[in-house]
Amino acid sequence: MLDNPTFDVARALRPVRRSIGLRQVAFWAFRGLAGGAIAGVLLLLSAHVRAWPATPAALAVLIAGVVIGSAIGCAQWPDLMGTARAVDRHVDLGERLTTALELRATDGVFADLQRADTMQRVSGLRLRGGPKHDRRGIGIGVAVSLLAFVALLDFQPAPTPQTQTVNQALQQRLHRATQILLPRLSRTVQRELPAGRRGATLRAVQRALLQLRRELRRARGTAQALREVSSTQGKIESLTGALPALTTSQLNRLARTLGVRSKTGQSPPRTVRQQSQAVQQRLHHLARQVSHLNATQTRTLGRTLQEAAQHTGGALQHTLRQASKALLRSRLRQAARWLNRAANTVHAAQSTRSQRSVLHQTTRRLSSLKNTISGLHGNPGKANQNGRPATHSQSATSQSGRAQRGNTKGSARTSLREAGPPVLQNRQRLTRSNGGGSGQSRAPAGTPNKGQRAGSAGTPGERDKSGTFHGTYTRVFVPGQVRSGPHGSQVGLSNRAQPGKLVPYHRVVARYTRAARTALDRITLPPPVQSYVRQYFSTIAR
Amino acid sequence: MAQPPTDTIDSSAVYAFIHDAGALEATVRSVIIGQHEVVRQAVLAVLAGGHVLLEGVPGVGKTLLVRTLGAALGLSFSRVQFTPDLMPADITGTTVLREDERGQRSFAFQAGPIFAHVVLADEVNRATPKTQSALLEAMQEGTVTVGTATHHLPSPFFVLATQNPLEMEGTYPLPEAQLDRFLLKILVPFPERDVLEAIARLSIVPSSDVAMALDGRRLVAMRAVARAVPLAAPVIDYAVSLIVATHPDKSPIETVRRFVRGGASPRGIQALVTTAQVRALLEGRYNVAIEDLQALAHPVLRHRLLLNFEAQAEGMSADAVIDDVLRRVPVP
Repeated sequence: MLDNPTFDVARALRPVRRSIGLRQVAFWAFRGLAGGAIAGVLLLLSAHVRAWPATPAALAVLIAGVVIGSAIGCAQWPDLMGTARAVDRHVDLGERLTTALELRATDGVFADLQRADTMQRVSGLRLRGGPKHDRRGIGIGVAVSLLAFVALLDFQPAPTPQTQTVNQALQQRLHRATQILLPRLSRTVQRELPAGRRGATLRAVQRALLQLRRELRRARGTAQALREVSSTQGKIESLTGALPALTTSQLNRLARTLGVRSKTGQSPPRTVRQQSQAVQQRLHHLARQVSHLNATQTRTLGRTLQEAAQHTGGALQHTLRQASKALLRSRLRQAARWLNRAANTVHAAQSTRSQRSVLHQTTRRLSSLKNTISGLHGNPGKANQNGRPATHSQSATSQSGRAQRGNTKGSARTSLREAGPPVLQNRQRLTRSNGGGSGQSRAPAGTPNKGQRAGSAGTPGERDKSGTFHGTYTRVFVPGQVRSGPHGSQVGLSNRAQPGKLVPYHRVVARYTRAARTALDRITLPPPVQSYVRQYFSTIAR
Repeated sequence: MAQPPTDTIDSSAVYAFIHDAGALEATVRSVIIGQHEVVRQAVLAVLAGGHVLLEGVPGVGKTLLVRTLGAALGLSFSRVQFTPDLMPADITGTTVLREDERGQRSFAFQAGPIFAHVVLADEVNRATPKTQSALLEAMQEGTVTVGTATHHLPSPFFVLATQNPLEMEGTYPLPEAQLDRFLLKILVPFPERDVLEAIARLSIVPSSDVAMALDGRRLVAMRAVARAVPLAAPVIDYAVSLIVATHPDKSPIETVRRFVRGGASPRGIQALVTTAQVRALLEGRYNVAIEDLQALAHPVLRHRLLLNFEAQAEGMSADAVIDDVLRRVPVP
């Protein structure tokens, strides 16, 4: 600058401008660092209040603060005039540079004099000045916030050994559920659904299971995993409800009304399948014969069908009513068509019985999967509904009862064994093992979970010489309603769990807790089991 | 960039300005002990071609300053002591009946004391408004009209009026419109102790002994040089901000909104810029700086701010308001 006879103020200001700009960027980067550190400190503090992995987020906020600060600094990069003003003020040049910059393209006495004066003034100066920021304050702010940040990073609440163990165990269980149990369950469903009925239902079930597998992989806690399983159970139960149904009692009444007899003799058919086939044949026969009936016979048949319709429901009831109306109006062809349709409906209901059975089995296997996820399994012993050790005979009966269901034998047993210990599963089995009952599961209150009935709990037991298990219980989740066990009294859960409906946890936990405590007071349970139940509810209440 | 034509100005004229202005200031300071800021402002006003209102208690050297300034400039000087019975004709002059050697009589204009280059209007607030207005009209127009004849005042023409702030009884405060015609209002403070000691030791040099530093023609040429001093856009912006900030309806400053009835006029910004140009040269700078505006804000603006009753009741002075304005108006 000194060597240059014609003072170019813009050239002289260029390095100053760069210097001021860089200083501006550094200043804002430091401010961003301080802001990011403060935000990071808040995040890390929040992790002390409620445990969550705050360290990555805090580091990200810290870096984001620096980046945003630098961006703001870059946006405020000074122009030449701003630089001239800054230097004038910083070096106390009395607006010489500002004026020289404005006069740089001007010729005149004062312009020349002013340029010369400015050149003379700035020649001895190191033009590195710029706006002075309160670096001391910023420095202190950055230092304090960074110190707090680092200190909090060091003092992050480390997971307790117990928590670590629990987390590891949960991860192992979820891994087992997603990698072994759910694929196996999916294969079982594929195999067990009747060959002709593998249409939309099977696809829907497989889709639900696949989605469950995905959700379980993402699940971060037991509660979330159980929620996902319950949701899948709800979907499958909805599918079950959508299938045409004809209960055994309805079938019996229908057969009785229609005067169904076996082919060979006058005695009624013994099995449900035979009875269903007989009803179908009877309806087809009536459809064929209706054109040969006289008026009185037609009206009589119409009233009979009307009566029969009252014992049924759904599509079958509709078709029977239509057939009855047609007969009463002497529209015989129409009546024949409706009778044939009714026969087909009975056939369809019979066909979906096995399908429904498979879906029920799937739902129950998902309950078993819940046990696996909750870690409430692994004990070979079984509990009866009294919460007492299951005897060998009871176990055998239960096993044989399950084996009697043709479509689930073998594979179902294998699946359940993989998913966990044998489970008190359905009304039929309970009835057999107890020799009667109300049709409700009577497992003692144990560990209810989201509308699921709690089963008994215990520890692995041993078989004595007579083959009886002692002191061993299996903790299970069974769909249904909590009852008090052998006394037959209800213990507080009045509303039945509805299939497919999810109830918020906080709405039911208090009721379940009360129900469990009442049950503990009324029924006989081994002390370890009682303490386990109490501990369980205390834990979830926290 | 505000820049008047500088065709007739060369660098020697600029250097001469700086030299002569410095000489004038040094001459006046050789007579006036202390009061450096007052002397600087008075010289500034003379070089800028404006009238000055001096306010101070009696005996602080107001009249001496004016007489010294007149003597240093080598200009004609007249002094008018304003009293309540002073008539306009006593200032401007009047037409008198004159008889020549042949006995012929005719009316002739007898010029008053205002027909001088430097007029000292002592205690200007003691005259009636009618008399004041006669003086102030001459200040504004540079002419005096008596009857049907208009008479031009000599150039350069300065009025340096004085006021006594203590004896306010029986005075006629100058109207705001007339105050605005003074370029600067300079407060002459009571001297410091060391200045008083120096005054006590030195005998006051009579005005007749003051060396002439400038003449009238040179002074007029210097004005043209001063007008050519450049101002950068941020400096003009700051000057405008200062003036706007004195208006209560436009100012963001609470003090102004509360205590000021009327702000500085556009003539105020002219005065601020003009005097700042002269000051820049006196400071050895070839451009006006923010510092010049700040230094001259008080003498330029103090008589242009009209304070309201609340300000008077709370003892708020115009200088205090200007201090607040200078503090709060951001420097660009």
